[in-house]
Amino acid sequence: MFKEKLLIGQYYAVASPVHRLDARCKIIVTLIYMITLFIANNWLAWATLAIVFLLALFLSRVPLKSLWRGLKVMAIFCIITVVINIFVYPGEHILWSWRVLSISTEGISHGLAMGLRLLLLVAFASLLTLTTTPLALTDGLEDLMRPLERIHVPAHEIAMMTSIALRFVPTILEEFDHIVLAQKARGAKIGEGKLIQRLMSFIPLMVPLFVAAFRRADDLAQAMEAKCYRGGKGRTRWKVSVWHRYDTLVLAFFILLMAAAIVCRSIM
Amino acid sequence: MRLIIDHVNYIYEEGTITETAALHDVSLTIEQGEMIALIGHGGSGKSTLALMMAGLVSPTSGSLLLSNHDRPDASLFHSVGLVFQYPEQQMFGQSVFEEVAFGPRNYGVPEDYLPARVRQALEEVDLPADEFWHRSPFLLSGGQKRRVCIASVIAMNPRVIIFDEPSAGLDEAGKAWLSALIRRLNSEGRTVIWITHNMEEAAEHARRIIVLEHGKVVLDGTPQQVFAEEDVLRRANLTIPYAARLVRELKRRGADLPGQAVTVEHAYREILSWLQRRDAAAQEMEIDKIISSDEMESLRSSLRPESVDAEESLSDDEQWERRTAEELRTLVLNARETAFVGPNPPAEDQIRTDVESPLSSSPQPAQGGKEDV
Repeated sequence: MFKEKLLIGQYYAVASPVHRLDARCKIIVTLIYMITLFIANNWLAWATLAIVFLLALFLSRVPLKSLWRGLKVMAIFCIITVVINIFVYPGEHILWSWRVLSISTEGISHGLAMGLRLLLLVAFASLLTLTTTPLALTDGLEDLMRPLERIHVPAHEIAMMTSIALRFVPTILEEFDHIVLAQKARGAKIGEGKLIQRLMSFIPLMVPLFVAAFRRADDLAQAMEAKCYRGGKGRTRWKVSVWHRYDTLVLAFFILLMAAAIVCRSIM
Repeated sequence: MRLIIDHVNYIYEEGTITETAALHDVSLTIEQGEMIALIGHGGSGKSTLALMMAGLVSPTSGSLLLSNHDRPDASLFHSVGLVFQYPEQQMFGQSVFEEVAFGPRNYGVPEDYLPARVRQALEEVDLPADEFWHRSPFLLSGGQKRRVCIASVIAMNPRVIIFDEPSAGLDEAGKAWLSALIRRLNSEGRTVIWITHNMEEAAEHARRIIVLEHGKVVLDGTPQQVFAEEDVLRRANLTIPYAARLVRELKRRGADLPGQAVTVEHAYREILSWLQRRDAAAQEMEIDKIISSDEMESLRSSLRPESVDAEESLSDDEQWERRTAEELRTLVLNARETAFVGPNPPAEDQIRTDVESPLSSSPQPAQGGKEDV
């Protein structure tokens, strides 16, 4: 059903060195890794980055299967990118050509590199969400955005809204599944017929979904008020994230990796 | 129409880490006009079975046959109606008419015939059609919303109606109305499959009870047969109806009654006939032998406030033991008083007021405890 298809990198609960890392560290590291991917411009660097990713995956104890479930859709996108690049990229050593399309060795190399980079990008990002609870993730984001509060960026509110939105994605998907079944039980033909009919067929799904979402929002607002929620000011956390030396080491490693990629790029 | 479920398995999210078997080798035959209660603990596969019987999910293996056709197609499933749990959460219509007409319209009932269909369905659920026709279903009360939703299934004129916990969230009056409606639908010749948590409801109304545990059918039979299997029910995290516990407890303590009853009414009759077989003095002795006033006294003292904590730590069964004696005595004394009034058994409504008050006024230990788990 819809639920399993949509959830990219849903938290996978095991104990591992990667899970133990501070969320802030993981967010920064992910950003550095992404930047490094685009700084890198040769196969040696890309291979190193791929090995780093595989190492992180191995350490995280997340089974390949769970990662793959989230990546399936992206993989199709990657394959399309590779194919387009192979045919379109201009090169000198032409292996095959037909009208405007041609395949060159440079094209193949470039296309594969592009695909690999995209795949690593998404895979690394989903590793972040696979190993970090949504709550820790938003707390981390809030901490990282805190300096921006001086220029009146509502860091706490943004983090709170993000975490509420993330929290309700599975709930609402489940509800949607349920509504689909219920309307099918009443003979609804969903997504069939001509365009107008097809659009109209979504009304019996959307109205209950929105009604439920509003009801939920209302309940949540009341529950938060009942617990005296007054925004971020003076609010303490139950689980305070602590930055360990271990986090600094991991961060240092990735900064070095980026530095190496920059050096590598300027040499070659 | 006959429903045959033949060695059906159903697996959720097959091939993933969260793979779970919701149904395991389920075989059932359901004849037209049956009144069935489907009971089981949460997650036992009741709802999945309901979805399957309504043609909304297909079995992973095994087969589901409707009547004698071995190829269920959409039009056949039109004769199976499913009232979901909290059905009012699926409402979307701008008026009660639109809401109720949705199903039959989807099934191809011509526009000209729709008003008659809707009117008939609304009458079936005791909603005055003219009053509610144009009203927004979202502005109705909880009970009225539930009625509209049930009407929207009845309007599709199903031969089999499955109710998934239809009484959830209704008040006592609403529950009583619903039971009456379900019985009426059944007496009109429709098959009714009633999914419930409430053993009293199941014992009271169903003629056949199917018990599911972890996706398997563990019991299937008349209420008397099913509730005789106390151990199996206990393993499935279910209790037996209060009335059945009562007569069995009396029998265990030496009362000369069959101990077969599963409904309040039958329990009452058993107790009554047990007492009527004796004169007043013998009754006094008999009751005293089974629940002596000494025992009552010691029970009262053991239930004083300082022992409240101790009571909480008791298991369901121990709590039941403690509370039963007192309730038994009240009930039996009540029954005796009625028995003295005259040789004729009391009228139905009298039975209810007499018997239900001691039962419903005190918390029912077994159920209260189980729900919290």
